[in-house]
Amino acid sequence: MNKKIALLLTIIITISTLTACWDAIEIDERAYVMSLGVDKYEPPSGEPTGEAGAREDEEGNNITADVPEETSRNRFSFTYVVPNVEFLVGESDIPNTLYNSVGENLYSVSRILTTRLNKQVFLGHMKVLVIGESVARDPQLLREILDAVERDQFISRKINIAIAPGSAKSILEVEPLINPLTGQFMAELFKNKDRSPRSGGGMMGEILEDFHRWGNTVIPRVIPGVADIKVAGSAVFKNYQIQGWLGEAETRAVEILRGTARPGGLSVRYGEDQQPQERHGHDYHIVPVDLIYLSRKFYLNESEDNISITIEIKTEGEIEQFYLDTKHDLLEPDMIREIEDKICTELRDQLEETIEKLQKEFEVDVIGIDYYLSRFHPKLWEEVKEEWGEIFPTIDIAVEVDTKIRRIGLTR
Amino acid sequence: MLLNNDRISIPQMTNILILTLIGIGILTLPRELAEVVKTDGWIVLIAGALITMGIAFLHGYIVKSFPGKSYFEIIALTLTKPVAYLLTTFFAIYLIGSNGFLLRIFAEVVKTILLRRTPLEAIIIIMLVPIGYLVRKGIEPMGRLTNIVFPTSVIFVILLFGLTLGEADFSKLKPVFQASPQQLFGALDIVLFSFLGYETLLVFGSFLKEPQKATRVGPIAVFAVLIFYLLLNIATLVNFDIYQMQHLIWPTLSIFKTIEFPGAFVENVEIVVMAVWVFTIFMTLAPFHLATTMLIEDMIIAKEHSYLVLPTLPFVYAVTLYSSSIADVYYDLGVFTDYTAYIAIIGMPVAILIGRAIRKLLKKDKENM
Repeated sequence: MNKKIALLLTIIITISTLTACWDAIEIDERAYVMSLGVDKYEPPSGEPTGEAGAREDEEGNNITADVPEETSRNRFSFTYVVPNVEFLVGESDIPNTLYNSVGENLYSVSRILTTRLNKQVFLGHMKVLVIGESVARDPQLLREILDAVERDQFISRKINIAIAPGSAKSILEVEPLINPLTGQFMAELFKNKDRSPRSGGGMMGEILEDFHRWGNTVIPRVIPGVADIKVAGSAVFKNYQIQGWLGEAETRAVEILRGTARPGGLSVRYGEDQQPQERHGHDYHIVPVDLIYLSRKFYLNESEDNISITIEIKTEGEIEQFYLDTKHDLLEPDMIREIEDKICTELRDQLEETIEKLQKEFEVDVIGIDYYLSRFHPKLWEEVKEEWGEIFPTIDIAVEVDTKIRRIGLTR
Repeated sequence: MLLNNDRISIPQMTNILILTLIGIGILTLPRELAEVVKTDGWIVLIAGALITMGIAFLHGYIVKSFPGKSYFEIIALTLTKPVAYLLTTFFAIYLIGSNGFLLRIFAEVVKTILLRRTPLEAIIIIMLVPIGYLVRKGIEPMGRLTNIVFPTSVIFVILLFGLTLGEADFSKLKPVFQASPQQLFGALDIVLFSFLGYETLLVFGSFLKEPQKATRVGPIAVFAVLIFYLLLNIATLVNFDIYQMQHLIWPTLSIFKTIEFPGAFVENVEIVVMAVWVFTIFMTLAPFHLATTMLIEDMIIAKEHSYLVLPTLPFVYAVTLYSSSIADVYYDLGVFTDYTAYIAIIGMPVAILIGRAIRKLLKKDKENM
């Protein structure tokens, strides 16, 4: 008898305790936000806002929701991209559902969104955060958003972040032809190993690390197209505020200087500066070279009064194209030396140009000289760190490039 | 052969100590070191470990000098019985208090990262029940459990830390030797507190099969944990540098947010880490609670410590719910350890050794007379 009671009690206790899951949630009850766009809320100009902005049909019934008013609470405009599960299994033609909502902060907007969404908004699987230029121009808004993302326990530090010239919403509205799931498409763009170094890494963790140190960083730029999205160029930030844009070649230069550049190409013109009689009838040959950026090292020249930094860059490459039936012989080591020299000069010019732009126009050190000094010359850094923003534009930076061409393909 | 003869071997005791030492300290240690001494944390770690090894040796020496005697008996023999009652009560309060704060921090981490809507009380009670279950059967099952938990967690921890080194930048460990001696000295107590737990040897000493080898247990355990802490400190520093680290409450958990498995079949590796960490926390809480009940058992000369397991759990529970927020928990824990830990780990053993020396002198005098 006792045994039976004990058994019964055990069953009752097990059943009652095992089912009591406060955190249980079914997978289909969640709306997985793949990418999030953040814009500053700007009311439509010239149109009425509030209840007056709601459109009415002929009988006077509201057929659209109210246009949000410009109040102090409507600061952000968030765009949530939620992939349509039915599209994934082939039962629907609509790949994404876009939700746009305005409000004071990310948390409350996400919670209020559930008033018109029958699922829990879940940001834990977010892949890409797109920040509109208007937010990037406002350090306060930017810092609020970045803190919300870093504080959240479910958002990975591996997500990508990008800045959109114009609005983030316009990027997320694009449905790329090759993969209409916008969020996934952008995440794959960032992950693509073959992606040219024409945009930064854009990893959330690294960007946050940069911001925590001195508030300066570069973040990749995304540009919308008709049926595709392009990640190219970057935005330069100083004190959590966008200073300006870097073009694609300049971004590559910054990536090389930061030592984070992925392999990429560079084209030089061979024979341009030769005497006409040596040209064999052609003006010049275009030589594209596939380059791997091996290492980047900083050196401080201590003998001089002014802070003088030498940046040494080592690259390695392979010639991709020359000229059919050319008189030149690429198996001549001298030819290879010549092309190597051309690449070095070309690369050095580009890098110096970009350094000049960073020093004179943006006045912000995003190439990591501050890290180098603080780690390897802590004594000097102690003296300059307070005024580094003012000192950086005045220091001397020299670039030394060393290129080795290893292979030339199948033909000579 | 007795199945449960309440005797544990030296390696089992070492395992228990290692798992007891690794508790909540690992979550915050890299940040606290970065705040005070920047990248020079390893110097403080090594210095702190050397001091701790010295203290642990003292504890072992006491156990060795009184083979088979319980901690209460040792104090009674050297410092008289009334003092023994007082000090044992103090030690029990220290253990209950530490356990309570530990459990609270554990529950807060679980609530933050895993179970967002589960009531704190439920997490705490779910943890307390198996602790009571394990502790009731004494030290031997615990020794056996560590034989399973220890190797498994070591494998997982090494694997996971290996993964974090994927995008490591070792120049973040520079510069070295930049902290001033005052800063280094100021950071010492962070390290000393992060090694707490080896004092349970004083209570468990009477269960050792070979008490003559007791002096090696503590130093070996501290050394093993030192290696682990050093690796941990490096792993967190090369992933986040000191500036990022100072913004993270639990950098040790946050570095697992930076891991991405190739193929991404698991998106959040933190979950695996949390699972391993739950074991090590359990193996910190359980020995502490066992030590508490054993101390009280000796004090009231009870036959069996198992009757005391459940009545003492509510005290732990009460301490657990004492602080109101996560900020208060860390503040209160700091205040609590400031007032109790030094007396428990240094004051009492030194008093015992002095008492023993005086006894010996008196004895000699008597024989000489």
